[in-house]
Amino acid sequence: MSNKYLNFFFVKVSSLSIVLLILIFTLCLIGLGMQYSAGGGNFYQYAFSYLIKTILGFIVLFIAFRVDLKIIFLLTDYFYYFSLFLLFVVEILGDIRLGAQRWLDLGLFVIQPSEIMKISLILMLAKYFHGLSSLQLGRFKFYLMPAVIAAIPFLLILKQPDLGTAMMIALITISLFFLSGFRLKYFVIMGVTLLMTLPIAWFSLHNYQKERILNFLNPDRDPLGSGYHIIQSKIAIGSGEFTGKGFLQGTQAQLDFLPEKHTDFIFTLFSEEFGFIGGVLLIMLYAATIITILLMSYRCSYAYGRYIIAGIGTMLFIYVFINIGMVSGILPVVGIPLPLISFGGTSMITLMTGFGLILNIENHKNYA
Amino acid sequence: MKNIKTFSRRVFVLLIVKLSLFVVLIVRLFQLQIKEGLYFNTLSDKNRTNLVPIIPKRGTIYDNFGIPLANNLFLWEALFIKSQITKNINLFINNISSIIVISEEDKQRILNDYKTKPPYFPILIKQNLSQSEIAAIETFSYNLPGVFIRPFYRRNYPFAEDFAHVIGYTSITNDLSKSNQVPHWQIGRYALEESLDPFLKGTVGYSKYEINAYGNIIRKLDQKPSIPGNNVGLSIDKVLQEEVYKLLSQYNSASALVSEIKTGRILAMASYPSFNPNLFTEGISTKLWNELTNNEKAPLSNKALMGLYPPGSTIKPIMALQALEKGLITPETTFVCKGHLDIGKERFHCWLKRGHGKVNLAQSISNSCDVYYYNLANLLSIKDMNSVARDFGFGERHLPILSSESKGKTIISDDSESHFSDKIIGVIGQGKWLVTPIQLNKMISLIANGGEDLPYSILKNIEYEDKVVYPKSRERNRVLNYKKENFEFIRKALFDTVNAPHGTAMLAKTWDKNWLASGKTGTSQVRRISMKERETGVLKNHMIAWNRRDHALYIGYVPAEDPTYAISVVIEHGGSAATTAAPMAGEIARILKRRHPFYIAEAERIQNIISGAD
Repeated sequence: MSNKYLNFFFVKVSSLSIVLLILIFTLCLIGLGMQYSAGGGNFYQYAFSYLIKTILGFIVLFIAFRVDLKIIFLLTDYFYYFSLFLLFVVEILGDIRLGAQRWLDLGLFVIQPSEIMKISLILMLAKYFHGLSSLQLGRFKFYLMPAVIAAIPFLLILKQPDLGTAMMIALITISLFFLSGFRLKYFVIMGVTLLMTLPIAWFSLHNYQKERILNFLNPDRDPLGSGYHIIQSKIAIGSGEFTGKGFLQGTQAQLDFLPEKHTDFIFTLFSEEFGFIGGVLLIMLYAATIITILLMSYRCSYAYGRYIIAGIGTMLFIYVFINIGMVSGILPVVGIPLPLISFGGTSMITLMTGFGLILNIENHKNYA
Repeated sequence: MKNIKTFSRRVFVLLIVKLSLFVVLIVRLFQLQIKEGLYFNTLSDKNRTNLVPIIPKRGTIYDNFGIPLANNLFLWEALFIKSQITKNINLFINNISSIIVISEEDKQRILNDYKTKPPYFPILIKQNLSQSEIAAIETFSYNLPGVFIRPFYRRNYPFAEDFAHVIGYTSITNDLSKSNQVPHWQIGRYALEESLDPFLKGTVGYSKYEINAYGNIIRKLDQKPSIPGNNVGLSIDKVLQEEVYKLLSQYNSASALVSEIKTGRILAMASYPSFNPNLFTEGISTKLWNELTNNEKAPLSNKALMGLYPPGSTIKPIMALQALEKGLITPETTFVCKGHLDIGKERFHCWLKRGHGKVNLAQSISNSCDVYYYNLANLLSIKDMNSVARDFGFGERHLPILSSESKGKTIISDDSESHFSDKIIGVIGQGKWLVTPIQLNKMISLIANGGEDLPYSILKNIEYEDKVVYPKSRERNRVLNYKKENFEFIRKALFDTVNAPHGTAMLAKTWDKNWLASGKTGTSQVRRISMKERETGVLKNHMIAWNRRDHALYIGYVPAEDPTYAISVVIEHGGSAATTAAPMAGEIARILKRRHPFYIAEAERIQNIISGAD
């Protein structure tokens, strides 16, 4: 048995865990390279800070990896309530300060409660489904409770307003419902209901959100205003053509035509400099990571672990899909970063926590 | 175990869904990067490169002796590109005026241009920058995105009004299809500047820069220098033109044309009042433009080409010529002038109320007796009158290089049948006639050189790729088929008109035995004189409003024995030609005598160059 296990910081882990670690590490290396390019070849512009955050991320990953799962299981409800509390706090502060409020400034560092909520909600739902018997699973009335659990943070985040994160919360919840055996006919009914409430949703959107959606549908509406980002982004991606313009040679990015090139639009920079080949390879790298994670979920012997792993894997997928979709102009711009590559601490910490938990569960997949 | 099975199956389904959505992303990348890659690549190149046109120096226009009549001032100007101004325009103006001094007028103009010009159009901030202003803009350039400084050749007309109608003017146009898509390229808008534009304008060069999103220049990628326009020489003599213009300016509105009879070269073509073409290059204000266009003395029009007047008595020599030619009269034919002639019920008056008595043909020209010509009208047909008028250049254009020339009208108007009264007043140059000063000049040239029709020219040479090219002297159009002795007779009569005692053009005398003038005056009526007015006495010109007074005309040539220079003068509402147009022509004749040796010398020099080149 022991020869099947490899070593990760003096802890024996499965080969699948090593594969996942290598994938994460590779993505972070690409991230470092792209941050260097986004800084116009200046290491200290973005890359240095990115490096520090990544190292911090790996520390968080290691902590999440080593924490006793039993403690996490027991504290799941408290994590959720604490996250809810933080969301309420930013909601109240937001009211006072007038305007979008997503952060809590704790002096030393800034935290974004919606990010913590992503993990807390996955844990909470996993624990709930873990507690259901095979008879209860799939039956409608047992889904009212998790629906409420997801709806509260969903509405709070929507109100911030952070459309992207709210969408993520909703999609993660739907995925976990699906995995638990939620009947397909209920999905159909919910889908129809959603379509009917769409007009109401439209009128409750902020003007700038409506603008974004309209500009997504037709970027030429306002080529120098809010349509500017997506037009320039498409030009940058398209002009990369098959092999790209080369590392540090992306004229769109290097001459500042590309906004937010080191954060949400980093995939654009990547595509401009490495072309179609680079873009496909990067997507395949993410696909490999997701396959590995879902494989781990499949192999886990207990429901709590399965749901957590699948939930985090889904979260990773949604990050990637929405980000690349929005920069390439098939989805509206909602402010979702590219996981592990974009500059930005909070999503890095969220993902690293998630990966740590996955490795932790993978290491204890035979727990009962 | 059932729920684990469901989970496993659904994890698989979820994986398939995710991977399919990734395929969607790859398809999208394929679409953007492979299918439309080239298109986006051009867009990205367009983003990062900026073509800055280098405007060429416009060709200089010289007079016959190489004096520049239109040249270029080298100066520095500051401009900004509208689309690169992200700030509020008022803020921008405040910002820039804190760095250099900008007048209120300029501020208004910038605001106005900002509203009306297309987004890529560079808008002028200030022209003629001083060294310290250039330094100030360079220093604060980081704070002024989209602002740039460039050298500029501004068109300059050193003699302003004197040559405005011949040279024309240039201006900057909004219509980029006219300026070859180059903003701020001055294009010729009037007269020679317009018709010679293809020679004068030169070829635009380009600097290709790499720029960043803020419009700041990163580096120069490529450059193609501009090619200056060709210099052009004219047959106009600056000295003569200026003096003629000065003479014209004694009157309210007048024009004159002086040409070389043996070559058709135009030496002076002036029209008063005029305008300052420099105002147009700097951008003329609407107020000034309205003042120019609404002025009843029409300063913008070149009256030597465009002015239309009944020829009055200046037409008499060719009417006499036609009657001689047709054998209707001989030089000895006489008629009696009693101051009027009754034809049918109508009475036609001579300008001399008491009458000229017995008048022969020569006297009819030198005394300009109207009754003699009323008698001729009985003999001549309308067709005869028209054919001689056409032979002598009426009803057609003579200087196609200047597009605004009028065509005029002979007695038979194009659309209506002519009546007898048309004929009888037509014979003395009144009625339906409309002729231009250049047509009058053509007529007198043809009389002077015995019917050799040489086309007019105003272009002397073009400097083309460091070579001076002289256009070949054009073939004569035709030779008029009139008897030599008849021409000589008319010329003798015209000599008498100026030099004999009592000749009507005696004030055109040169008082120089070696430089005698020949010519004919004409006074053409603008109003009809009523019967009632005849009874009470015709009003004198100084008693009626300016724009109802008669036009004063003169045609003539010098020297009488070897006709070399043709002169035509029209003074609009000048009153009696004998006392206005005739003395001015005499003055012009005296100037020509002074300039004559210079013209001969220059012609010889050019002849040597041309024959040397062959």
